[in-house]
Amino acid sequence: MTRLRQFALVAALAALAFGCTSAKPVNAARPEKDRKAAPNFALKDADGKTVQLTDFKGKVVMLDFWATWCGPCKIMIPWFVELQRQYKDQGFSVIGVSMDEAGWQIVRPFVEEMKMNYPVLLGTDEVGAAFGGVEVLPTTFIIDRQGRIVDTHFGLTSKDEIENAIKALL
Amino acid sequence: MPSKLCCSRQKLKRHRGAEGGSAATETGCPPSRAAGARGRGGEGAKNRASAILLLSLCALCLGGNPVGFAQIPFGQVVSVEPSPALTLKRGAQLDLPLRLIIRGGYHINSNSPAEDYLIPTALSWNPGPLTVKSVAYPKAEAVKYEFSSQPLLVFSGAITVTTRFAVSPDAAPGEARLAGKLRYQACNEKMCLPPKTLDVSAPVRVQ
Repeated sequence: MTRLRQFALVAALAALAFGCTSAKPVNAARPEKDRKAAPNFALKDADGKTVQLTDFKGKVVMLDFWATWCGPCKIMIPWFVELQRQYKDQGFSVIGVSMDEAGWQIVRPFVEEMKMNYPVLLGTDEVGAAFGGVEVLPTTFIIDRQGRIVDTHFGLTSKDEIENAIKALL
Repeated sequence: MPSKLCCSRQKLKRHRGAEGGSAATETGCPPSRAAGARGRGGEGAKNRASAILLLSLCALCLGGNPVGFAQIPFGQVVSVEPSPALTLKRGAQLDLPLRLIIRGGYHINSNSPAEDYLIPTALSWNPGPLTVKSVAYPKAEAVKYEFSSQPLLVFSGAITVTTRFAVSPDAAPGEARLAGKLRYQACNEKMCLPPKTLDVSAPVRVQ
């Protein structure tokens, strides 16, 4: 019995270790009744112009929190460029919110290099906190035409998954 | 919700055990108290072992199928082991090893990352009774990730960063505390965490 207990203890520790180290991206789709209004924000773009989320009222929005130092974000940005090009005429827009502490000096060249064709804003901790605390990057929120959060994607996900979520709202 | 699910399964299993005449209890989670209350007999031990195994399953549920923000192990990825007290003589030099434990599945950039856009790991010390002569980082691993076009130079697992301190010959004897900051930025295969700065410290005694 002692052996059984020892085995069980080892198994428990191994499982707990697995539980603690697993970091799969989490996607939390919300049924319509559970959708909550996305918090509004007022952030500056590269030209110093203030952009608010409410400016996009009536559009499906994909709000992407990212940073130049985030490798997985660099995979997703070209997808967003493509989605913006493909669906902007159907009432869709990507909004990129950079969480770079270094500011536009770092972000501006990156935006140009990646040919980002959608609004890119400089984020703040306050805005991150308003969205539940953006603790990982990339974090993307899909927002419906009524300004409600439909879907949240943490980490690198698939383009198909994002595109399907957007198409369902257009 | 997986934890609730696991606990429900556990409760159900216990209920079935009770129906079968075993010594299982009908109480809910956590199981250890109930199992332990059954004494030291074979059934009690069996129950404890079952409880531990069920906890394992709960942990596997949490790790293998996360469905909520709180289940992702965000936050502090690097922990710093406490430094031993240093005793130095005036005019001498001494190495202070700082052991960092990086959470499994994550890496932090090396002190000299392969790409310009990456934030390096950096240990710095505040001015104090000792002079920093050098900070030595371990050799970085070259790892290719899905998101990188070339292998990145990273640290993972447990690493030691060693600082060489010198004490000036005219330093005042006595006890002091070295204080510094460790800055790092961590990622795993799928996501990155914002850069973080940890306070580090070490007690010193100058003789």
